[in-house]
Amino acid sequence: MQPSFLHRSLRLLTLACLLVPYTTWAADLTITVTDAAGTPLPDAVVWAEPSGKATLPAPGTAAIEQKNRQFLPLVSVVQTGTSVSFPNRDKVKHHVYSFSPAKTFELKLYSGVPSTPVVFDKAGTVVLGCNIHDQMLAFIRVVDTPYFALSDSTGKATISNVPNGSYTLAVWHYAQSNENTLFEKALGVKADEQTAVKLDINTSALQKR
Amino acid sequence: MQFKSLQSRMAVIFLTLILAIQIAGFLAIKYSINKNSRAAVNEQLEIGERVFLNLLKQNGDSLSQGARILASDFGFRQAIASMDYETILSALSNHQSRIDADIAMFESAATGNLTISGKISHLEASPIVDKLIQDSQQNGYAQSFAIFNHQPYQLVAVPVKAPLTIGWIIMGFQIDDTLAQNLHKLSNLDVTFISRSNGSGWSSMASTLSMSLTEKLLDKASTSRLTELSMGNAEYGTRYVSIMEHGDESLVAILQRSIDEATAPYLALQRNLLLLTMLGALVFAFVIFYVSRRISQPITELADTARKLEEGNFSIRLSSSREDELGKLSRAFGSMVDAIASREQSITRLAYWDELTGLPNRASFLRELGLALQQAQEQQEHLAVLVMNLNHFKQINKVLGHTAADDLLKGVAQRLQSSIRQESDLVARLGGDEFALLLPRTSLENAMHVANMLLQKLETPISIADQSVDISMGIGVASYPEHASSQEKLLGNAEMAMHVAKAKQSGAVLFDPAFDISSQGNLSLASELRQAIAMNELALYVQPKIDLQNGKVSAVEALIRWRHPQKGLMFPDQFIPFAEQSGLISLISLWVLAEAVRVEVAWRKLGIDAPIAVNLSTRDLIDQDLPHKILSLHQDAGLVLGGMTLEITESSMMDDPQRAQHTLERLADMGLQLSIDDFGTGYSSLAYLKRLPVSELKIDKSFVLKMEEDESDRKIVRSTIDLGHNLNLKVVAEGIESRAAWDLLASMGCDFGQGYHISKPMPAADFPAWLQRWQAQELQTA
Repeated sequence: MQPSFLHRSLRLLTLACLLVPYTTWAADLTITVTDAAGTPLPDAVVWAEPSGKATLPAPGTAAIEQKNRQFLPLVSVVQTGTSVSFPNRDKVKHHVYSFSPAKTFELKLYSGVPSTPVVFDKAGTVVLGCNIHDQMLAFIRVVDTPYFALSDSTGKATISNVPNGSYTLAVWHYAQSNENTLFEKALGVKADEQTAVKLDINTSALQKR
Repeated sequence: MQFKSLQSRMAVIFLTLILAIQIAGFLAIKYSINKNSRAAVNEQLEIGERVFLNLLKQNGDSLSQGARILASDFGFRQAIASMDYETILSALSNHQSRIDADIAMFESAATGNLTISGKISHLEASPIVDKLIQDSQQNGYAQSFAIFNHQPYQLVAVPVKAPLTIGWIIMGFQIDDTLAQNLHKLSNLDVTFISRSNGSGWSSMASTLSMSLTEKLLDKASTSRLTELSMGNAEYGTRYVSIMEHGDESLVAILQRSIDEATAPYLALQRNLLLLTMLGALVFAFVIFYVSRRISQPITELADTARKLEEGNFSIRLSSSREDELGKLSRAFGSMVDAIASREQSITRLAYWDELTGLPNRASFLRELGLALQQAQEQQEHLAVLVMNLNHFKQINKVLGHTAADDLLKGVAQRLQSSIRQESDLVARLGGDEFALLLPRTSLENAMHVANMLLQKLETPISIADQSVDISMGIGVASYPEHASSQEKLLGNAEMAMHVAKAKQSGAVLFDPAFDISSQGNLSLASELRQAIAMNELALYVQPKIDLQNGKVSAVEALIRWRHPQKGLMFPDQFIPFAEQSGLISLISLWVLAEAVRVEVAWRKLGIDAPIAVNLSTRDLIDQDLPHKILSLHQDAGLVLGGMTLEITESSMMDDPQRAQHTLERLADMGLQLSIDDFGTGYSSLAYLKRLPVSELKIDKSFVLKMEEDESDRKIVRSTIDLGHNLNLKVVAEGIESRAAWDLLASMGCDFGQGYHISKPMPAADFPAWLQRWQAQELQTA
């Protein structure tokens, strides 16, 4: 409990420090994600990865709860190196695992909050499952940037305070048809920008909650 | 077809009918069984197909279950995640053996790498696996069939999720005899799997059939898809279930059921039914036989009865206790028999009995006579027949009326009936006033006695309607074996004798063959007599008639003789009765008349004056032409009428008294003398006699002959003489055979006489000489 609290307050502090100096040359990126038919697509992960070397803030922590035999949230996006805790809010035990190459791990049957959070140290998609509850599914997109956002129910994702510079904008959705191909776009950030992205979606893969 | 009897007709018709029904029923059942068993086979096959498909699905399900278990095994997933080929393969083969699968494969979703545990190559597996995975992506899992190395497999594919799909496990079961046997156990069907692939022909990899049958089936199924196959002497209902059809790869399951096996229980049933049918037909045949017999037997009996009836046997009794139509028929027949019997009885009575007198009739008499004759012939006995006829019945009938005449006949019948031997003799009424009497075991002499006894019995008058009637009868007697041997002949002869008796007024007369004009002898006699007249064989004899007072010849009676060339001299009683019956008497009378005229003429020339008296018969008196004939005879001879006397008997007038009287009156008118011959033997009434124009009476010689000894005869003669004189008639006595008689008669006042004492009859030609002698003798005595 102590470390996580510490991490969070540390992160909030860092964000606050960052925001102040870059206020004048930072911009908000608003990306609207729809499927091919133009339907707004929630839970799409958008991120902007700076081209070239840039000093990035240290990764923070995140938590993915298990409640009512579901992972919450369904889709998370974290910066590489983020420690993610998996607090179990159910009365039953869970056996959380991932065979994804980006992060293979296993939290054997446990209740409550595991003592050690899992550090996601490699960019990529991590698919989470529970070995005793096959229907439980969650996705973590590990990205090498702190500039990311998730689209809301209107398909709108806003990455705030992106410093001016050149980035590669990427969009990923867990149900996209071609899993291994990311939508990527080079982007020079000077001011607020709005972008619309259309993704081919495999509707059968859409999770209904 | 022709049937002799109702019974067989009924039996055959009904039996044919029942057999037809039974056969039709049997065929219908056979057809139905055949159809049903085929339908049952078909149904079994249908069910079998469903079971089979279900079994396949279950197989697939258990296969996919196994695959799913593997897919969800954490360790296996970890092994996959390790991307270590060896680990994956060992995990696959481990699991393959655990669920007893023949093939286990894993395809990675990330790399498309296919790991295979089993005896198939990548090359064979890849396309099928790709297709399977494609199917399973839509449905979560997929099943299919494939042929690897000519061997059919059932395949399932399930995704491996962690929790998203990271790859697919494909498991395969070989389709082999085990599956076929399982199916056979479940459905009792024969199962054969045939397949083909890669352009090769059909082959069978699994079957519950024997090798040889499988090969045959393969042969047939390769070319056609018949639903009924004949293999190895058995019929099989066959169903083809296409399991897979993919390009040139096919997998077909052939389900079969032996129709013979399916039909077998029905066949037993059918056999029982056939047995039952035959048994039923047999029972029915017996029943039909019995029933038809029951129906036809009374009919046969009736037919027999009718036949007996036809033969005249009325003693049959028909009794039937049956209540049905045949019983009624039988009873009706019985009462018909009774009715016919009683009718026949009355007809017989009418035919054989005389209603009036209650005596048997002529037919009955002839029948009885026939029987009696038969018996007499057998026993060598005598037998006599009497035929009786009442005298003067016509007059009685006329005077007293029919009713009284009937009563008279009844009285006569009663009297006859009471006069005979009841136990053996038989009285019958032949018709009219004629009766007959049959006397078995009776000789001629006794018969004559009986006849005379009967005559005596009838002398007592019979009283009818407060009147006494005197009756007499003529009796003819004929007897066996003397006179005839047949009943008709015997009766006829008796009748003939009876006619003679009546004609002669002589009571009972025994038959004489001479009576029978129709007999061969009499037929020749008739022609002989005719010839005698023509050839002048007849001779005129005369017997003198003298005045008893002075002995002088006053007249002669003409008598006739027949000089028969063979038999010699014949007397009148030998042929006159016959001549009277045959009608020749007219000719004879005419001959006598003519001869008398000729003799008279001759005698006149000799100076002899002797009037000739000629006897006339009954028939002559009826002949209306007689006076004319006599007249012309006299005229031809130049004689004056008046000298001739005509003698007639009482009886000759009685047959037709009126006519006779008429004739006699004419003759008397012509001046002829008339004389009553044989007076005293007849029954003529004096009243009648009084009316006749006669001038003379001739007393019958029967009185004269015994007159000397018999007082009563003497009295009769005397009173007759007196009677004649009182009626102004001359009286002639016949049969004077002695001088004493002559004298006695003379003393009684009798006018004339004739007899042997004076002279026997002599030929006419001898008379002149006799007359000379007589006159000379007279002169001497005088």
